[in-house]
Amino acid sequence: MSADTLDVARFAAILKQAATDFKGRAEELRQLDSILGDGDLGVTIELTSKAMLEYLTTQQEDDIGKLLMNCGLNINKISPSTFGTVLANAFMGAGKAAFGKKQIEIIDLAALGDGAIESIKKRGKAEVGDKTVVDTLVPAVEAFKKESASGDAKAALSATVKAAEAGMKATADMKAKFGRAKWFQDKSIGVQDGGATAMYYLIESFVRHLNPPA
Amino acid sequence: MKKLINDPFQVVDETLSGILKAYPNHLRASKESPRALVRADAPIKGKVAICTGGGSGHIPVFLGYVGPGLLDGVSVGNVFSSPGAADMLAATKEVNGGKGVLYLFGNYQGDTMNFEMAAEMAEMEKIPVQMCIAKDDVASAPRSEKDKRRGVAGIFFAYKIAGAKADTGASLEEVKKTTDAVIDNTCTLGVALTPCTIPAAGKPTFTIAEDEMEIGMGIHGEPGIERTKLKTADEVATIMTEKIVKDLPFKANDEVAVLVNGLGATPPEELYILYNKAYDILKGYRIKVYRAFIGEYATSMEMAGASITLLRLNDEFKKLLDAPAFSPFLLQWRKA
Repeated sequence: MSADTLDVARFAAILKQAATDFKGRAEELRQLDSILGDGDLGVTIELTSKAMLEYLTTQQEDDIGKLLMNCGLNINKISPSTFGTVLANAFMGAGKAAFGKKQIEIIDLAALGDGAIESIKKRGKAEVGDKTVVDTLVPAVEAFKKESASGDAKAALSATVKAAEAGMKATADMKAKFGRAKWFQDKSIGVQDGGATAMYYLIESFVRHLNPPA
Repeated sequence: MKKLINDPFQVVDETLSGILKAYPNHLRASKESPRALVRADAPIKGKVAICTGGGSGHIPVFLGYVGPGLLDGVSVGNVFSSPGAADMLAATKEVNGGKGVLYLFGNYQGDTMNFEMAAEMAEMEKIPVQMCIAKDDVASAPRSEKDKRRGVAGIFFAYKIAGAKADTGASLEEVKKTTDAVIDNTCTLGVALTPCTIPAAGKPTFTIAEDEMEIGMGIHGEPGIERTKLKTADEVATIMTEKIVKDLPFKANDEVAVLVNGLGATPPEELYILYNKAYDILKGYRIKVYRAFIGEYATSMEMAGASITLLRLNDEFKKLLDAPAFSPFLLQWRKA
């Protein structure tokens, strides 16, 4: 298997590392969320991480689609808060796009990203600019698609993280339209969105473990 | 935080355990999930089943509305947080009596996303599902954007009438149609005097001065329309009733059902003082009260405050409102 190929075992191992990193961000995200939200994002991150680790440690799937779909279902079961449900839908949407695949190439991750975006938009009804996870995920997937056209997986991954970071930071200037933050409307301007930040950490961590520094 | 609890993270499960011990002939946990409760005699063959669900902390909302003449199943989330789609599906499968399942719940994003997911999963199991989303809180958005309004205590009328409609043998589409009509004719406005504390968070959801109140505050502490000095019961009842009447609007010769709901820490005496004034204002508009319900129908743990709800009635709603129903959480059912 080439370094650019992901099978179920490698995909699961990377997600496990990302889930472990995610747990380490719980306190930081709790504090960020307590400015506009009700401060329960920290608990959500801990539960989401727990749900992922619990499933990924015991799973015996033979298909990447099923791996992602069932990981999403377990997140929804253990962490059905608004952010947890959005994330669960991202996994389930990506899973749908990978259904039946025993292995995929890194450059094929674009389809999974599109599946995740489609699922989140359908469920949460948020678009780019609404100060949500969509503002991190959409530019990240767009950047990946643009850079991967040349076939350079490493360049595509690094462009993904950069775009995700820029998208996350841009949420600071946006007015919230969803979740508890929307009650604060104009007051929400100036504060970076907790969900968008959590999504950045997941993407950054996934890419870091997928693409270890040489 | 001053609460009679054990572990803040066990509050929901210990509450459910106590309820199941108290009413074993009325409710049971579903086979697939301890967070999905159904009528002890579910499924009822040949009847449209109705499921609700949402975050904990609002008893009798949601599980208190499960029973004969009411709802069939409920999924229970953590305090102020949606249950998961799998819990909703567990209840759905166990209550389906062959005529499909209606999801009836309040308009909050987490709940809506999860009920939509559960509906898609139920479809894969060949169970037809329809959804009705209660959105009666007039303070949460202008009438021109009524689909953005939150669901609060007025869901009580939708529960009662939907349950009675299902008992007539009506189809899933007919139950949905009647329930949507109830939702469209229900308006609620609340007032909060003190906050409540989510056990796992350990601190109040908002702060408010000793001499202040907030008109239109949501049942989870969502900002309302006006924070003012505490007013008398008559002044508060007047503000609330006037805003509700003008919102729908209710007109002379309308017949209404009224609900004066306590949020948890406000005693029944104060609810009757509010009703005393609300009744007179309605009379002034020549709006006729067909039935009044006074008590705790949708709470927010230890929050002090109240809400007033009006439902505009027609002959069908009156008949269904008066139909028999039972839940150990609710006492004011049959016509006096």
